[in-house]
Amino acid sequence: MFLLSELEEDALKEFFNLGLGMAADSLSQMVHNEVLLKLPKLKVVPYEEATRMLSAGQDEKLVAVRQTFKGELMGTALLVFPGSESLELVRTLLSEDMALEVLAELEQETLLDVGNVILNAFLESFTQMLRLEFEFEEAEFLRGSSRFLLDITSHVAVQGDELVEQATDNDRAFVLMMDFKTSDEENTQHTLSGFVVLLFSKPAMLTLKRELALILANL
Amino acid sequence: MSHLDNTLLAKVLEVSTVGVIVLASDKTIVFWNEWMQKASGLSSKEVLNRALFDVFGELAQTRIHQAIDNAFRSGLPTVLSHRLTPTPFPLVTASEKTEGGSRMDQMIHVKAIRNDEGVRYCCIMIQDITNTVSREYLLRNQSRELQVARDVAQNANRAKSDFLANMSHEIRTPMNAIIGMSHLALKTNLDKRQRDYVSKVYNAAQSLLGIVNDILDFSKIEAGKLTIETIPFNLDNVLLDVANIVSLKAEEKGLEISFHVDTGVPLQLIGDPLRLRQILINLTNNAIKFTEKGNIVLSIHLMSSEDYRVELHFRVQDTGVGLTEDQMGRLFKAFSQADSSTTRKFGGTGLGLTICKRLVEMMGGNLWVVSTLGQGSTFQFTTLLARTDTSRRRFRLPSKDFVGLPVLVADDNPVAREILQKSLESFSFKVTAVASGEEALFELERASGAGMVPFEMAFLDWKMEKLDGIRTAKEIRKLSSLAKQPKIVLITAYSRESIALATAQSPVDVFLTKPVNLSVMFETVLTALGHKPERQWPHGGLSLGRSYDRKVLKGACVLLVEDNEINQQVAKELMEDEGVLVHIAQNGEEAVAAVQQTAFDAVLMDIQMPVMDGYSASRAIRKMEKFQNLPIIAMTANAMTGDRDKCLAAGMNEHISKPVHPPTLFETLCRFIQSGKYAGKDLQEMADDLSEVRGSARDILDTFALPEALDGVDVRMGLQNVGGKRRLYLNVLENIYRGYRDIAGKIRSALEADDMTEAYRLAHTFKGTAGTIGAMSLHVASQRLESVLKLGVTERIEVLLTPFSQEVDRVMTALEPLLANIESARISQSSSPSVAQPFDAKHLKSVLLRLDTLLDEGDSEALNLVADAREFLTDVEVLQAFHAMEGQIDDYEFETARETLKDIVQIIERMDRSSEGA
Repeated sequence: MFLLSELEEDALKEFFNLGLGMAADSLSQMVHNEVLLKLPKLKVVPYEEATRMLSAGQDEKLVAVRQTFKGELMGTALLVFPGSESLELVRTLLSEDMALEVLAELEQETLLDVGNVILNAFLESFTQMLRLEFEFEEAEFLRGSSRFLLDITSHVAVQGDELVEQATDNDRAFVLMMDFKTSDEENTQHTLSGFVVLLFSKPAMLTLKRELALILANL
Repeated sequence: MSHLDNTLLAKVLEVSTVGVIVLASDKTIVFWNEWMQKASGLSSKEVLNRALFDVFGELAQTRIHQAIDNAFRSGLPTVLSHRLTPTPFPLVTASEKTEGGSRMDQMIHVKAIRNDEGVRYCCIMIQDITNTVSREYLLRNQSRELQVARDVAQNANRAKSDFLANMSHEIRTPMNAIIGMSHLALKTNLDKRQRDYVSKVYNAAQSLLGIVNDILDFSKIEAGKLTIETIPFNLDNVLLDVANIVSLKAEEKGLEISFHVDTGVPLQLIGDPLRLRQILINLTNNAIKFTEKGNIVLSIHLMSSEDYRVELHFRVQDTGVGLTEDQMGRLFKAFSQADSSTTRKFGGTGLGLTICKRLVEMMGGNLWVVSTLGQGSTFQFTTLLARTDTSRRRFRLPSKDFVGLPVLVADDNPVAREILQKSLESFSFKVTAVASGEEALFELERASGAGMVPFEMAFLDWKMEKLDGIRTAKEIRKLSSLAKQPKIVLITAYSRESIALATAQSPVDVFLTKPVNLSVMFETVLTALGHKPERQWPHGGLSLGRSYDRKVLKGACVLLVEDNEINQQVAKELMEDEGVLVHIAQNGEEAVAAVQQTAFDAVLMDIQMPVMDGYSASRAIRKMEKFQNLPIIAMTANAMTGDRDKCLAAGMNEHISKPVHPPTLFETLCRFIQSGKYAGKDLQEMADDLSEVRGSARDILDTFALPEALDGVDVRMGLQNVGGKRRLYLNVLENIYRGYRDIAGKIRSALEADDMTEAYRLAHTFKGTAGTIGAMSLHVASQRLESVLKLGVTERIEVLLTPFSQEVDRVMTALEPLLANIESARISQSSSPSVAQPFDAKHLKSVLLRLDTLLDEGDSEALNLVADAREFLTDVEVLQAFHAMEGQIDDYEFETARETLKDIVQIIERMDRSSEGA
C-alpha cells in the first residue's frame, strides 16, 4: 500500500482548502449568494474502495465534471455528485424553483461551469505548490456509475500510454469529501455533499510524494 | 500535421461553426475568424492587434476577464455557462429572438495553448446556444404550465372528495332525522292514514339513502378507494338479509320469489358479506322492478371447489321485459340505463349495475347478463371466495332416524316447487312433490292406504289455484283415515299473513316465509318434529333485525355523545325503547368527564362536534387505564373511505354510519355490551329494575295534558316534530326552559368576550331546538341572528338581538306555568303511594351496600347512585333522609353521609319487618 504521511496529507489539505476558499468566492459572486465550500475529509484509497465510497452502496447514476491534466504530473480530477443531488446543487445555486426533472441541457452546462470553477481551485493549488509543468484539458460533463467514472482506462484517450500500463489494482485515488453550503436571501442554508476525486497512477503518486517531501523540507 | 500547411489550417478555423479568438499574452487579438466577424459585425481588420478589452470595454472585470487571466497564469481552462455569465460577448445571433433583441446566448470556452516555443496564448471559443436556450425556456414554460394544471387537477379532485364527504355528511344528518323520526313515529299510535303517510316517508327516505350510498360508492370506485373485506360469514345469513329486503316488494307485485342454493355450495365462507349482499339486493331489486308477472329465482351453484377456495355462480333470473343486444351493451355504463324511456318508467340512477360490476370484479369474478327481449333476463356473476369449513355437510340432522323422512310438497308454481323439493332433499329427506292441494290430499291418502311409511310433514304453498294452502290444511285435518297426521308447514309470501293466520284453531303447525331460507327451514322443520335444533349458524353482525338479544340491551347503560339535538332524541328514544339507560354528553369533553363519573357499558360517539371531536375524546378516554376495554362505537355521517380506519385508529371499537339503522345499532351495541361485565353486577340488576320503574314514572309525562296552544309555540307542530311523543315533547320543552332561558344573555356575553364562534354556535344550536318545539317566530328570529353572526356583520347583531331576546322571553314565559304543573304532578306522583312501584328490598339493600363502600372510599360517584336510587323510593321518611344524605355528599361530608345511610337502612329494615308482620 502506498500512503502519504500524515504531514503530507495535511499539507495537501491545506493547499486544497486555500484553493477552495477562492473557488467559493468566485461561486458566491457568480450566483449572488453566499457559497461556502469545506473539505472535511481527505483519503487515499485504491480504486475499489473509492468506487464504493462514491456510490455509497447504491446503484445510482452519478454525475461528474471531469478535468484531466498532463505534463510532469498526470492525472484526472473529478467532481462527483449523486444524480439528484447535483441537480439540487444547480437549483440551490440558481435559486431555481423548478421541478428537478425539467432541469436538463442548460443545467448540465451550468453544472459544468460550477464544477469547472471548483476543480480549477484544486488544480490551481497544484500549480501553485508544485514546481511542475501542467497541461489542462477542458472540463467535461459525465453521467454514469461510480465504476465508470473512476475507471482509469476510460481516460485513456487523454491520458496517453503511461496510465494504461499502470492500470491495475494498484491504481489509487484521493477521495476528498466536500460539503457545499449555500445560503440564500432568507439565510436558509442548503448543505450538499459531493466528492472530489483525484485519480493518479502509481508513478504519478510517486512524483507527488516526492514533490510534497520537497515542499515540507523547505518549510 | 506537417503536411497540412498553415493557410489550410487557418482556413479550417475561419469556416468553423464556433467563434474563435486567439489572444497573445498581452491580451491583444491575434486571430478573429469569420464567425466572429458575422456575429460581432467587426471585421478582422478592425480588431486585429487590438487588446480584447479595448475592443469590448464592457468585458473588463467580468468572468471572461478572470478566465483569460487564469489561462495565462496557470494554464487552467474555463467553461463559462450562459446562465452564470451575465456579461457575455456582445454578439448577435442569426436567429431572430422574440425577447431581448437578437443578442446571442453563448457558451464560452477559454483555454490556454502554447506554440512550439512554449509561448502561451489564450484561445477563446464561443458557441451560439440561442436556439437551445429558447427551446429550453419553452419546455420550461410548458412544464410549469403542466405543473400548474396538475396542481389544479389535484386540488379539484381533493375538493371533489371533500365535497362528497361533506355532502354525504350534510345529507345523512337530516336523513338520520327523517328515518329515525319516522321509525319512532311508526311505533306510536297513528291512525290508518297517518301510518300510511309516515311509512311512505320512511320508505322514501330509505330509498333516498340508497341513492346517496350509490353515489358515494361510485365515487369511491372512481377514486380507487373502495376496499373489499375478507371476513368469515355465512352465506345463508346474507340470503336471509336479501330475502328480508326484497320479499315485500316482490309480494307487492305478486311475484313468486325463490332462492335456491345448490347442494354442493358451502355456507361458511370468507369474503365481503356486505358487498355480496349489496350486489344480490341490487340484482334482485332490478329483477323485481322490471318484471310484471312470473318468477324471480336467485340461485347459487358451485363452479369449482378446492380445499380452501370455491368459485360460486350466482344467477338472478326473472321473467320480465328482457333486453335487446343494444341495451345489454349499454347496461353497465355509469349513469345510463337500458334506455331513457325505461329510466322514466322505472326510475333509478343507473349506477347500481356499474357498481355491482366493479364490486364483482374486485371480488375476483365477472358480471354479465343473458337476456331475450320480452322473455326475461338472467343477471349472473361468479366470485371467488375462501371457505372456512371444508366439510361438505351444511346441515346435520340430529339423528339418523330423520334420514329419508317422507315429506310432501304441494306448490302449483313449478319453479318454486322444484326449489323447495331440492332444498328438502338436501336435508336428506324423501320428498314427494305435487302441484295442487287436491293432489296433496290424494298422495296422503294413497300413502296411508298402501301401507307406506306415512308422511311426517306436508309443505303447502298458501296461494294455490282452487284449493289453497289453508283449505288444504283443513282438509288434511279432516282425513281421519290417515295413519298419522303430518305436521303442516304453510309457506306464505310474507310474514304478515302468518301473523294473521296463526290462531289457535289454525290447522297449520308452522309458517315459513318466502323466499325460504335454508337455515330457517332446517330449524323450523326440526322444531316442528319436536327437536330443539342446535343453532345452525352463528348470529354475526350481518343479519338484519334478528341477531341481537334484547336482554343484553335491557338495563345497559350507554353514554350517547352527540351535539345535534334531534340526533340525540332519535338515538336516545330508539335505545330507550330497548330498555337502554341513555346518558347524553353534548361533546367530547363532556364525554370524557362523564365516563369518569358513571360506569357505562358502552359509548356511542359522534365524530364532528364542537369543543372536542369524537376522535380526540376517544383518544382521551383510551389514555385512562381503566377505560381500555370500554366499548366505544363511532357514529359518523361520513360514509367515506377511511372513516372506519380513522375511528379504529383513535381507539374506537366499531363504526356505524348515520343515518342510524336501528337493528344495526342494537346489534352492534349487543356485540360490545356484555351484561354485567363492565358495571358491577348489583348495579346492573339495579339498572334493570330502574329502567322499568323509570319507564312507568315517565308515564306522567305521557298522560300529562298538553295545552292546545302556548304563546309563541305551535304545540301541534312541535308534537309532530318529535313523532307525536308527548313525553319526549315535554322533555324537550323542559330542557329548553332549563337550558336556554338565558340564551340571549349567553350570546351577549360571548359577543362581549369577542367570541363570535361561540355566539354563532349558541344561536345555531338554539335555532334547531326552537324549530323542534314549534316556536316558529323564535326559530325565525334565531335564524336571522345566526346568519348575521355567521357572517360577522357586527352592526346588524344588536338590531336582531333585541327581537330575538323578546321572543325568547315570550316563549319562556309561556313555558313557565306548564313546567311548574309538571313538576308538581311529579312530586304528587312520587309521594303518592298508589302510583309507587314496589321495589325489591333485596336490590335496594345491595345498592345501599355499594353506596356504603363508595362513601367509605370517599368516591363522589356515590352521588349518582343516590340520585338513581332515590327515584324508586316511595317512603317519605326514607326520601327525606336520602335528600339529607345527598346534601352531605355534595358537601363532601362522607362520614356524616355514612351515618345518615345507616339510619336509612334501619328505617328500611323496620319497614320490612312491619310488612312481614302484616
